[in-house]
Amino acid sequence: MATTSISMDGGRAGRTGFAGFGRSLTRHGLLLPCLLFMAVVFVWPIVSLLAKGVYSPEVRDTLPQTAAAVLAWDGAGDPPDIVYGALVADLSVADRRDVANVGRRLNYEIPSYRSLLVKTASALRKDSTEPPRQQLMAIDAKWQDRTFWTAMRRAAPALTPYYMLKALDLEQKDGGGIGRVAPEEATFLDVLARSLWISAVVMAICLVLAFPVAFRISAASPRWRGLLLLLVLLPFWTSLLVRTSAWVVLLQDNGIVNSLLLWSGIVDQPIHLIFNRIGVYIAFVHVMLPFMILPIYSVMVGISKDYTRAAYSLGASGPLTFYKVYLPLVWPGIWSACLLSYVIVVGYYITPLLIGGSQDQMLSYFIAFYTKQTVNWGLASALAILLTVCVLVLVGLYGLLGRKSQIVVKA
Amino acid sequence: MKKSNCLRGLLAGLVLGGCISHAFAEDITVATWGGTYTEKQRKSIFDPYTAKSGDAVLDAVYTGGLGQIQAMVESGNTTWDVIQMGAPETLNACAQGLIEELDTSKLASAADFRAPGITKCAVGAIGWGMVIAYNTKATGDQPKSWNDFWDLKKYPGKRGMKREPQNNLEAALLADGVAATDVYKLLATPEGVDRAFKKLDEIKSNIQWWEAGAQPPEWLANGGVAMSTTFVGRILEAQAEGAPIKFGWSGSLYSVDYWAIVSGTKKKDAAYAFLSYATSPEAQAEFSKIQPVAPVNLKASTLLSPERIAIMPVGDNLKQSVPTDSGFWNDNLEALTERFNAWASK
Repeated sequence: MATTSISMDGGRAGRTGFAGFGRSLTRHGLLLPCLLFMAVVFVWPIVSLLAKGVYSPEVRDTLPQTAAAVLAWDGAGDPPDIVYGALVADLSVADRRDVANVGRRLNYEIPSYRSLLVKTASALRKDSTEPPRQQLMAIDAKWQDRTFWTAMRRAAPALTPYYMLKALDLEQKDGGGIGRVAPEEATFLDVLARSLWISAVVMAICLVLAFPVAFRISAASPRWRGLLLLLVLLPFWTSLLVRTSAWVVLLQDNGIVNSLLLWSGIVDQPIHLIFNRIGVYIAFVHVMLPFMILPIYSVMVGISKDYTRAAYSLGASGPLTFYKVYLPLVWPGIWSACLLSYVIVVGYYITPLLIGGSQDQMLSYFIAFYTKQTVNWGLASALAILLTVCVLVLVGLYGLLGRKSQIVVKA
Repeated sequence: MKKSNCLRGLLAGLVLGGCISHAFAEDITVATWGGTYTEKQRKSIFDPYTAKSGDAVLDAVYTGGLGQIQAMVESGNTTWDVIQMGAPETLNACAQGLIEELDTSKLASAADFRAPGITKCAVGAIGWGMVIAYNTKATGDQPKSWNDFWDLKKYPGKRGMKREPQNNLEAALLADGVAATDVYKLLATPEGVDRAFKKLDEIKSNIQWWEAGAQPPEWLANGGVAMSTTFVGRILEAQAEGAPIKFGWSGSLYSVDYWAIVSGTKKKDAAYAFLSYATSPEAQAEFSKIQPVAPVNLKASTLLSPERIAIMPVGDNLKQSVPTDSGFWNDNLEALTERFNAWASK
């Protein structure tokens, strides 16, 4: 709504001349502080963080001669002497911390590369008269192995596809070209599919549960309506961590739910409700229900009863009235509620972390894991890019489908 | 021992943030594992040091990994002076220049340490074991081996394991009959890694993964898991509260945690003074009296009672345990973590 009114203003400014233009400038100017704030504290950090997913200049910056030499080499056969000479020259002037950073980047390509590089950097003698190749071989025979040099070659450009490929379970093969990683290392496509699936299931369950509730609240008398809304909002206002931890207490094997089931004789063994998918769904649905109920309710409450009465008076049956009259009117609320809950769930972290097992973790878990634990910010950023793109595609699809389906239902 | 809970960490961080801004010149900030572990360090090391030197010791919570310390050193805003960290991390941090190289001439007790108790950048703080603990009601009163840990028929029930490859891959190979001395030789080969994961597959559906050290004793006490890998200190605390939990030393995986000085600290001399005290035989023995970890200072264990030594990874207990190889993990942590994540999430 806001954007349309602004563009209308702009159009008018064109017709009414300078005074109108000044007015619209003032109005746009009002937005400026907020836009600046968003740019500085939101857009810029996110963009610079996401950039880490494709920009990895460690090798180029710390070992500039080596990077140039190794890229000039065609990658086939033994690397030429100039490559060895460049590495010795670079390492003898490089800062220890930078070398370790390069080591970390190269260790992703070949485990043990970090200790090889650090060891080599500290063992190099500046006054040595030996040719560089012999010098490096004497420190470690691994420098004879060309796979270490082809790995260096892959890591040499500042713009690297490594992290994005990794996030898609792909890798650059030794002989060039891109292929799937070994099946026992493939992780993220499964995790992505799982994130999308869990979000879809949670959204569907929430919708089924929320629709009648929203309907009931919108149809209640004003006094009851306030009370019912309060019941929906109370958990909404409670800390997420508290609610999730409460589910841990309730759902564990000797928790309240299982005790009740055992006591009532419905089951004779505690059923596993936590550290698996069932628990994740239960906790997620609970967390997301208000996000589903409120948008649907807010649309329902604005629908005049006259429409359905008119349908009845024209002889339509209950189901037909619901399908032909009521549902199309509520549709925008349903769509926005679904979009909201889906997008929130797909990026969720804390609930699966506390309630789920290792087979229930979603993409955010791995983003946090690589950020905090292994300090692989490149991969964390690549996964974040993957998640962001997915959400954008989904929002786009929702917009497209939402408009279409609205028309279909109305027709 | 390793991880404190998030909330407590956050709280401590907030409180500390307030404290630091009012700190005096010679206050020193020590980052360590948090929770009751830090409280015990305060009682046995920090407070006596303050009484002796007049320098106050502030504590911060370190939760493992290198993320925090790297961000701190790279931004040039080092708010931690001294840190206690795990062995592979010290190697990695040392190589990256995140912690200072030790000047042993400034470390009063350096002569009481032998490698690997002292390294280029770090000096031993504690020796600790990852042991098998078990609920005696669910599994009987006998100490358990890794074979038992894998025996779901004899001891039905869930198994608690820390969600990381370290220690678990070693345990799998030990359970598969590999001799302790061959574990890392085998893990360095793709076949050995495959074998470890294959062995883990046998109990995968029964594993309940833990992340924080407080989880295993809780799960063991309420019967959610029958056996779990865990840190000894947590189990003793649970036992003191009457929980039906026991543990054994056979096959336990032994590691050393180190003290190190964070790069870029403005209080290097104060940091050395603190480390000299914290690594003295007396301070290490005092801490071991209230926390069941082994002192690394070679002179410290003579100051401890036999009863106390019985619950620590020293002497006979240490002989039954398998030393972990921090060099191996420094090289292979990233690759094996990826493999582990892929395996665990399927």
